[in-house]
Amino acid sequence: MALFKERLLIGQYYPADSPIHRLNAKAKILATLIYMIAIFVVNNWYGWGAMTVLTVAAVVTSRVPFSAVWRGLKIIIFFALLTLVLNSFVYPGEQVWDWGFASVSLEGFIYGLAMALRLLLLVIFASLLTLTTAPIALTDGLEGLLKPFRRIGVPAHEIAMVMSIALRFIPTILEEFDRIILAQRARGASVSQGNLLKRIRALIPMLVPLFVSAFHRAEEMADAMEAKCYHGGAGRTKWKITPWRPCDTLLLLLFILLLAAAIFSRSLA
Amino acid sequence: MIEISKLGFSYDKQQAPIISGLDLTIREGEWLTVLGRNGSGKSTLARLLNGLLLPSAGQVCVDGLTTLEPDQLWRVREKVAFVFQNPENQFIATSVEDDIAFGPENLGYPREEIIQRVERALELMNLQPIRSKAPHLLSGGEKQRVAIAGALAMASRYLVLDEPTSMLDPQMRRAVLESLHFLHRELGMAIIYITNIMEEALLAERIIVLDQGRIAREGTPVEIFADQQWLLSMGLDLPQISRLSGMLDQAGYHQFAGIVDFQQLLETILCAK
Repeated sequence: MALFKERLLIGQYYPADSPIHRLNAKAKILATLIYMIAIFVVNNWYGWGAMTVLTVAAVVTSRVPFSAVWRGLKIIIFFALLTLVLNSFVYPGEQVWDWGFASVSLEGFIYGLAMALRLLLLVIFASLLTLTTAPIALTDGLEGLLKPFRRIGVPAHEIAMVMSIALRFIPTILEEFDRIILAQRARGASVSQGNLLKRIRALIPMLVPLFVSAFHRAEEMADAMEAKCYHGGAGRTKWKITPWRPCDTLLLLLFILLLAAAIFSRSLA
Repeated sequence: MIEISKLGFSYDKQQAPIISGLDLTIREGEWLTVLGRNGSGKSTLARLLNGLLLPSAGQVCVDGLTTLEPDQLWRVREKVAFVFQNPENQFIATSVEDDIAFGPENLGYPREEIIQRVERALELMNLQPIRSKAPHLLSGGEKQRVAIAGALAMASRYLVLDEPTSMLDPQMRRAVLESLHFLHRELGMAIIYITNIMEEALLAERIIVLDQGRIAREGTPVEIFADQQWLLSMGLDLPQISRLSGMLDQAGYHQFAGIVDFQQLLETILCAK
C-alpha cells in the first residue's frame, strides 16, 4: 500500500532556480488571482488558445518537471471529463446524437470542452504558484497582501501563522497517520475490504487517535511558542524579506494587460 | 540568579499541591540537575521557572524579574529558555534557520541583529549544513540541537531542559549533551537539567532530589549518590558506576565507597593492585 505521506504531496514546493522561483510571492499571488479572473472572462477560442500558450510557457520557464505538475492534475482530470460529459448532454443546441431519452448537442460538447480546458489551465497555473514558492514565502506574501485589510478586522498575521504551521505539520501528521494505520492493521483492522459503508466505518478507529494526538501536539506547540516569547503579530519583526523588484511590477503589468485583452476579446466574439 | 521562595503550585485547590514551600536559588552559570520520581513535581518546577505556569504561592524571580508581573513575563522568558521532551512539537517554523529565528523575531529585534544571532547560533551548534532543511527530514537529535540553538539566538542566560534526551538514541543523546557542555563551559550558560537517566545526572555540579513537591535532598553528585538505600527509596535508580563502587565497598574494599567518576575508579583499582 502506498503511504499517505507520498500520495498527498500535491503542489508541494519544488526547489529550483528559475525566473519564476525568484519572483516576489506577493506578485505571484496577485498574478494568479488576475489569471483566475481572466480565464473566466475569456469566451472565445483565440483567448483560450492564448491562455494555453501562456500557461505552457510558464511551466517551461519554471523548470518544474511535467511529472510534478501532472501529479497535481490527476484528480482534476476526472472533474474535467465530468464537466465535458455533463455539458454535452445538458446544454441546449443542435443535436448530433439522439437516443430519445438523452441527446448530445454540438454546442454543449464545445462548451464542455472549453469549461474542461478552463479547469485544467486554472489548476496548472495555481499549482505552479505553490510549486515555485517556498511555503514560508507564500505565507509571508499572503500576510503582506492582507496587511492593508487589518483596519477592517482581517487578522492578517494570524492567518499567515496558521497557514505556515499547517504546512509545517502536514508531513508530520501524514507520517503519524501511516503509523496508526499500520498499528490498527496489526490488530486486524482493514480499510480495503467490504462495501463503502464498512470501509468508512473502518476509518473511524484510525481517525480518532489521529485527532487526539493532533490536539496533544497543538497544546505542546502552544507551550513551545509561548516559551519562545510568541505573543501575536504586534511588535514582531521578520528576518527574511523578499525585495519587490522591477520584474515583479512588470509581471503585474503583463497580467493586467492580459485581463484587459481578455475583456476586449469578448466584444470581438 | 533565579530566586525561588516559598513556591507553591496546584492545578486544583481541592487537590494536594504539586509543589509546596519550595526554596531554591539557581546561580548564574551553574549546572543543576533535578531528579525525582514521576509525579514528584520536576516538570511542574521547570514550567514555573519561565512562567509557563504561574505560582499559586510564593514567587519565582529571575535576575530581579518576577513571573507574576505580566509585563516582566516576556523578559523572564527571554532569559530562561526551554527545551521540551518531544523534539517534534517544539519545532514551529518550516526550516532550521527560520525556527532559530522564531524567538528573536517574537522579541522584535531589528533584522540585521536577528541575522547575526541566527548565523552565530548555526555556527556554534554546527547546524550550517542543514540550515534550510525541513523539520520532517531531521532526526530527533538534530531537532533538539535546533531547539538549543534557538535558546542561543534569544541570548538566554538560563536553559531549562525537561528530559531532552529521553526520546533519542544513544548517539544523538551524546551529540545533545556535547552541545550542552559547550554552552555551559564556553558561554557560561546555566543549565537546569531534568532527567531520569542517572548517568546524565552525574554531569551536574549540583543535584536536587524532589519528592512530593519539596526538595528532599540537595548536594553534589558525590554526596547524592553516596546514600544508595535512600536513593532507591526515592524511587530513583543508581548510575552503573555507583552500583559498582557500592558493591566493591560492601565486599570490603572501602576505598571504593562513593566513587562516581570513572577516572577516579580506574586510579583506585590500579592502587588496589
